[in-house]
Amino acid sequence: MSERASTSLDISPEIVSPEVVWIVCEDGSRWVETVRCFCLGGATNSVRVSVRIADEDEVLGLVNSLLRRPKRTVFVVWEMTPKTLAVKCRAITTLALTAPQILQIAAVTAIPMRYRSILSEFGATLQIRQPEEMQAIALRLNEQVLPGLARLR
Amino acid sequence: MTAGTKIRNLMRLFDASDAPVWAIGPDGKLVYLSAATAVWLGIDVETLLDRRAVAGSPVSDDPMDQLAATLSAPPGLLARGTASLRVQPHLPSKSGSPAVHRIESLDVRFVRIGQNESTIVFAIGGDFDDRTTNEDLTDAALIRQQLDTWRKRHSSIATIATVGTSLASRRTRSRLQVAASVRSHLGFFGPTGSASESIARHIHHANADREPLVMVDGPLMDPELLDASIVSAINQLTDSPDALATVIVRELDDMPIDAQRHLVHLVDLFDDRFRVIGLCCDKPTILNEALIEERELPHKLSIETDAVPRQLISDLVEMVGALTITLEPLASRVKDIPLLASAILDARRAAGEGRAERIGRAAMDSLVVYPWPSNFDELDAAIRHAIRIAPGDSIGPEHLPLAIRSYHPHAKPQSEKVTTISLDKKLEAYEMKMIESALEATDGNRAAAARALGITRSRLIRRIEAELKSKDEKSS
Repeated sequence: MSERASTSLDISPEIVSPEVVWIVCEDGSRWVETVRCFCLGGATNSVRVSVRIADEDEVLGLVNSLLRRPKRTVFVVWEMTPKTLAVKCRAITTLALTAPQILQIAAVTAIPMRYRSILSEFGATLQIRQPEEMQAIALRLNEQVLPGLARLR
Repeated sequence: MTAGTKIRNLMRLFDASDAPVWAIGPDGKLVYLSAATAVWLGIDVETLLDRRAVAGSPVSDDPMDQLAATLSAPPGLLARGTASLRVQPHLPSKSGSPAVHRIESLDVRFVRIGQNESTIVFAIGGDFDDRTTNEDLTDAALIRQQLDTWRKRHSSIATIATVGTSLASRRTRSRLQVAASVRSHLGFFGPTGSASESIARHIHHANADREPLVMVDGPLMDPELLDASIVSAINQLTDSPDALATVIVRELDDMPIDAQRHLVHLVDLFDDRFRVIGLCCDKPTILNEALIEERELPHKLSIETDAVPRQLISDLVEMVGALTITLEPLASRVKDIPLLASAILDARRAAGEGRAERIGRAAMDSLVVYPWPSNFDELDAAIRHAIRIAPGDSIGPEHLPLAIRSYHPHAKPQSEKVTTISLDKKLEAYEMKMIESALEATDGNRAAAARALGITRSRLIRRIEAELKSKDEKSS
């Protein structure tokens, strides 16, 4: 609630620090720990980085509330499992349509290869198989993608 | 069915189970259907006994015959021995109307028992997990495949510490290939525990296998002790003009300055027949010769010594700088950790230290997120610890040292924020925004806009001109 109240103000982009928020949607804690471990790689000191956990039905609302504040970039990590594949695909598509600037990463360890190729169709920009791949992805996002996204906003 | 005492007990157990089970006899007819099958189909299964259940065989119009046919095993079962099928039985209506009563579909595993004319088939309904591959095994197989490929390609420099597919490890291997092909002075730069010594030994054996090798601890040396430590190599170099020798100096950048100078002197004396491989920390500095007098040894011994920066004299830098190998900290090449850990596990297992063949994914995840302050040596120690206490084929997180298995990363927000906000600039920006709104509302009429804002027209114009000037300066 307090988040909504503060973000609804017309904050000028010049007075706020750039911020990156990683939202992780998963059953356990594997990917949130991975993101916590590597999310700061390559980020400059002026960028604030935070990690949040959300259920699939909370992500859209959370993203919308986060994006009210300027200079905030959101990355969403979805853990895809055979049981939640359909639900998560629907959530990914909804988010891609609502907030196309959000970069969505699908963690695909548990799903068969034949399903992985369709994820990009739903709106998952990146796929990650194992936690050790996250270091390179976070580094690339913080060093190259983030400045580009900031310019676009 | 055979009515023996034992078979009756078996049938009773089948009937007590909630999983539908049925059996098809050698002649392709249903010979047994369990009570759970009756519940699933919603009929009295006695009516299905002795009806044919053979895939592809002709079926009469009798609804029970058609239902029995839907329970048949898939074609090719007799050859394969086992098969899985999602069975969707349906019960046609007896009146001949096109409407059919659909029954809930069920995953069924068919198993052939025997291979001759007395072959029977058992069908067991339920959820079976064995069709999905074990992620741990798949992952371990993939890592092993990568490791084997690496070993084949890099057999000449195949020290475990250089295993990996990251950019850093590929860069290191390229340099090691060069170092292994030429005999020259060599400098290793890397953090503590990055296995530079074992790599240096390997390089030495690759390009100068028969050459005598002496190991020296740099920080302990003075010129006399250095001479004493390498006396055998010096004697050989003195005795024969063709003799060669190599010294590997641990912590070369922490070696006393006079010992460093003496080392350079020895190299000059034997005209590069005496090779130096120096192992240094990741960021040594070049010694400022003018400050040498000020940086003498402390006069009194103390446990609390000041941290003296590690330094190399410029002559030594020129010497070992000819070919340098930089070893990245393990935390910056996380992608390599699964391969490194598996390679260490292989080596330890080959040495008979334990039984474990692979590292489970949960344990691997713990290894991946751990920051590895002591780098490769710490990883080696962790795997050694794990393989010794793991009782089975796989290493789990519970077998890792406590520091690693209990480590949980926490993203710390960056401490430095943008705190310099100029209030004047913010007020100016706000003022300009109000002026723009007023001008927009009055269709660009400056006098009307000034009135609306409660200021004079001249002030409004001054403010607009100042803004335009400021924008011009920014753009230029």
